[in-house]
Amino acid sequence: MKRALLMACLLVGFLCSATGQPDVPQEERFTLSGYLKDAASGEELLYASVYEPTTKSGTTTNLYGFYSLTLPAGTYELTFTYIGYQAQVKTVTLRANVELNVEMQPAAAVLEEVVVTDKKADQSVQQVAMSRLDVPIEEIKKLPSLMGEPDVIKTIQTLPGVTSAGEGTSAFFVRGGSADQNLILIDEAPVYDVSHLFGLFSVFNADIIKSAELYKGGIPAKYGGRLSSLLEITTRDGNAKQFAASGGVGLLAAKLAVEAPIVQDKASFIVAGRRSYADLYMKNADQFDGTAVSFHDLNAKVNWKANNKNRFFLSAYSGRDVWQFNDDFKMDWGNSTATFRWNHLFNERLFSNLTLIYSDFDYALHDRDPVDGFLWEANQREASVKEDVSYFVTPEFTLKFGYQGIYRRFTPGKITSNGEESIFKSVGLQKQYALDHALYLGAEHQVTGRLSLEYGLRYSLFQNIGEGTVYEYEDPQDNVDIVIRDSTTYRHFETIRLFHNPEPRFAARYLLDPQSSVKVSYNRMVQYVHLISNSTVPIPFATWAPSSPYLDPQKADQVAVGYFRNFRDNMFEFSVEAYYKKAKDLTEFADNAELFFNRHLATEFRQGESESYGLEFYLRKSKGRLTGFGSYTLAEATLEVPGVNGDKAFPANHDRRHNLNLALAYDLSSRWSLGANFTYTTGRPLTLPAGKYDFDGYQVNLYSGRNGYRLPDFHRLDLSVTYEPKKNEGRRWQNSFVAGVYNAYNRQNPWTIYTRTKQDDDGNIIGDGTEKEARMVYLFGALPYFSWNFKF
Amino acid sequence: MKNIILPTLLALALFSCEKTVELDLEQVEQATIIEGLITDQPGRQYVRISRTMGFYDQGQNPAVSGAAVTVEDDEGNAYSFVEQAPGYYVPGVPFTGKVGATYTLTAQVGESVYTAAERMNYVPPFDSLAIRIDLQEQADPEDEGRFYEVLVYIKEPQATVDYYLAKFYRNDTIQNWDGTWAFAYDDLLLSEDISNLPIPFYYAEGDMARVEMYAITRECYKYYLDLTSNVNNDGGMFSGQPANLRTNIEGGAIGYFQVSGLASSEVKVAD
Repeated sequence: MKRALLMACLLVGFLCSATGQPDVPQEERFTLSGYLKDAASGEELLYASVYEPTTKSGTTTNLYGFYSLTLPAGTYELTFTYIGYQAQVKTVTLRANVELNVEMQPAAAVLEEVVVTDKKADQSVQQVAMSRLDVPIEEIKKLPSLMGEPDVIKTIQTLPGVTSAGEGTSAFFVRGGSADQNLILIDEAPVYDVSHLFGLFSVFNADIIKSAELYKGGIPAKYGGRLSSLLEITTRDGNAKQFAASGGVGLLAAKLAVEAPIVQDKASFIVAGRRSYADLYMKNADQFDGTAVSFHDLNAKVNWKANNKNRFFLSAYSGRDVWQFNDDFKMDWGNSTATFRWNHLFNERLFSNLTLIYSDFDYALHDRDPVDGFLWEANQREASVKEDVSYFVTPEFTLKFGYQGIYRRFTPGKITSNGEESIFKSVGLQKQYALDHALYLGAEHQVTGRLSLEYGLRYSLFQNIGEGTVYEYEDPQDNVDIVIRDSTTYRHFETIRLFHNPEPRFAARYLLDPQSSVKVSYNRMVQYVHLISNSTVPIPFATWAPSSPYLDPQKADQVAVGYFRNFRDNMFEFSVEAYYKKAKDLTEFADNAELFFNRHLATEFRQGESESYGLEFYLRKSKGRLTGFGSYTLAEATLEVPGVNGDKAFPANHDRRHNLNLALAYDLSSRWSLGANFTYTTGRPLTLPAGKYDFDGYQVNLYSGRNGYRLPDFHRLDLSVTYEPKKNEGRRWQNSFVAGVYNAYNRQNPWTIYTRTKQDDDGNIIGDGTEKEARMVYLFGALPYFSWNFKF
Repeated sequence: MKNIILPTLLALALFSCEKTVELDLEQVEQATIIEGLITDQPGRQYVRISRTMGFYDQGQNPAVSGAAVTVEDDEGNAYSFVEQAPGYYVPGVPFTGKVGATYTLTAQVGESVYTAAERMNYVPPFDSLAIRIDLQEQADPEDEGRFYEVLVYIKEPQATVDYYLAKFYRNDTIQNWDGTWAFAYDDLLLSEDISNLPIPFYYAEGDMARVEMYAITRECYKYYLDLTSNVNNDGGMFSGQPANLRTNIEGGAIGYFQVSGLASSEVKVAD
């Protein structure tokens, strides 16, 4: 309580000092505000730059394309810049507040394609934020991909500070954190499982994404809920000028997006769908024996820009994987999200965004056998309201504050009998509920021309609520001999357990010269929801659980320092960052934990600490014929969890010492371009047996310690070539053909090692069945692909 | 419930290839392993004591001979075991266990004393076994001639929390998918009337099919789940992290001393 009081005082003091800021004798000041848009499609441009040279004042547009700049009365020449667009200079006389929406023309060099990269040229040096990367969506379409599906998650896995558990997986690991420590948002709605086909592809259709930002550290107070990162994916609004469509056909899936104005320049929509079609073939092919696998995604968004003061968005996503085995067995999983957003300008300096969010993840397994089959379902749902306010106090000082409230419901498992004949009865595990609140106040503060700060405080409060029954165990860590001493039953919305935590955030940037800066940041993150999975790559059948009497919130502190420098008129962007992250009450599970359909799951929880540190280098070239990036990360991540691995520290499952990635695109001519990816990483750690023994005829592995071995190093080269036929003047139709090869030099990259009784290629046991062998699994050999894309 | 991992691997098998690799493994100290079984059926009591091996070693565990093995019940009856074959101990005087009694094992190997205790739980008898032809399997049998299903009929007591281990035999040969699955179940989802439940193996005409049902403790149930996970682990990718099995043996040995009510039924496969 004392701590809470202290925080409250701090908050108040903070507010006073903040509003006291423009307390100097003032000449009259007015505010220039508006939106920056693409002239061709009307799409808002995010994080674009506005600059006034005489006063050296500047700002960037926000996540919704809005900017606000307050200046003394006078006449100014303002420069609006955005990468891939012609800079615009506008003369503005400020004698009153001025609304100015600016439409930007794509730069001549890239006229054939509207390049929407959400960056201003020297943003990486200028911005206070560090450890933050945007994924160049248009660039990744020119890079090689697995089976021709450009995939934002696969690109994220190659960024500095990010590792993957292996190819063909959609989990990513940021600065030593596990996969569930990433908050992945699509139009502000969380997506709980981003995998299609167990991770071969992610659920994000590259054609609908406008921007994808990954925050690895220095996370602003506005965001919270996960320990390691935030991935914010914003979808396109839809063309507000004219009808447009785009689509493509690849080896795996076909996709189509349609967008059009509803009211010219005022309202528009976009609908995009993607569906795999392997199942159409599989159903009719004998060798699959009735097995058919498919996935689909559907994105839809409507926006209505009533006026500069009020804008409304409605965005929805729904995607699903369906695996059908004969007619007897089926499994499916998917996410559904919906976002309603209202941007409102109270005045030129007070921008408000009200968001209502819904998100659902569910899976089902259905064995239709009348006797020994059943339907197994699980899901988690959340509904949330969020209010974010930006108050542009002065050009040097912006206040951001807001609130988010979330209602969560977890259904960890429900089994329904197939009827009378079934040997099973219908049983459900207890549902769990939670209310999640967070208040935050943050400031963006330009102290001097060189020094800028971002600081703030997020205060999060989490209630595990009823209805529900909580057992009191004789020994909560004993998962074998469960002795229940007592139990307490809670009513609907009755608080079972309350947690609250301050989450301070701080970031500073000091400009050494216009081309280089140093930055430091600190953030504390608290995670109140926990993924119930002990595999390296979460499978889609994992459930989540709220913090509760037997599960404390996870907490992490991270500090990072960095040096940022741009070269050659911002043609090259370079950064090096070092980080140290320490997590407490990190959720792990007992050895041999039973995580599926366990009524006493609480006895499987083990919480401990993790520690990770690393050094990241990043070089990006975003202009010229050769574009792309290279990254190198040196990192280490270890865990120490009482009750796991004999209480000894062990390397994290995704701990990889060296990570080198290159992604390059080269424009040979206006029609031909080449792309290449190269990856080299240290193999992931794994646990191998130190011995074996037979027990009742079974050959059992004997282990000595967790993650004591490593797979051999991983390296792979992918190549692609893109051909865009000459555009017919006067027609909008545009084609492109992409051909490529994944794993060009056909490297056999180890994916995992498992053990089995020694057998021949046909699966017949060799010898007396007592001998064991280790099998190394390799996923993809050289995989050529082809895809065709169009737009008009 | 862990078998949902299987379709995952199946899916990846479409794209994967694999080969046998030679691992350079660290040497660990040999551990003593105890495998014990006490049932309520005559002749179904034994204790086997052996040592663990290197991963690439062939053959059975090296036997531990000369141990002093006794089993005692909670009424004060003690049964001395004699070494029938190297490392394999059976009661000197035959006895059968009683449901509801607790049995304590004491095994002395050199200086070390290992103990374990378990209660014998009730197992419901089989109502019957029946034979049925699986028409789909008959049309395209995986193994020539094997398309008969064996159906189990049994009543599951609903008033108690029970755990079972099933063993399936074809002509006295155990069927467990080449030593990769222990069929351990809890009764959380089971309804009382279990009828027409096909066992997971097909039989040919003339085969003798036997099903054994062991009542096991929760600890023993966990042991067999651990065992199945251990031998099926995929290297911790989609399955949980590889781990050693839990044990009920105290004193530093591994393995399990199982005490079970045992029901058995057999049927000759014929039309």
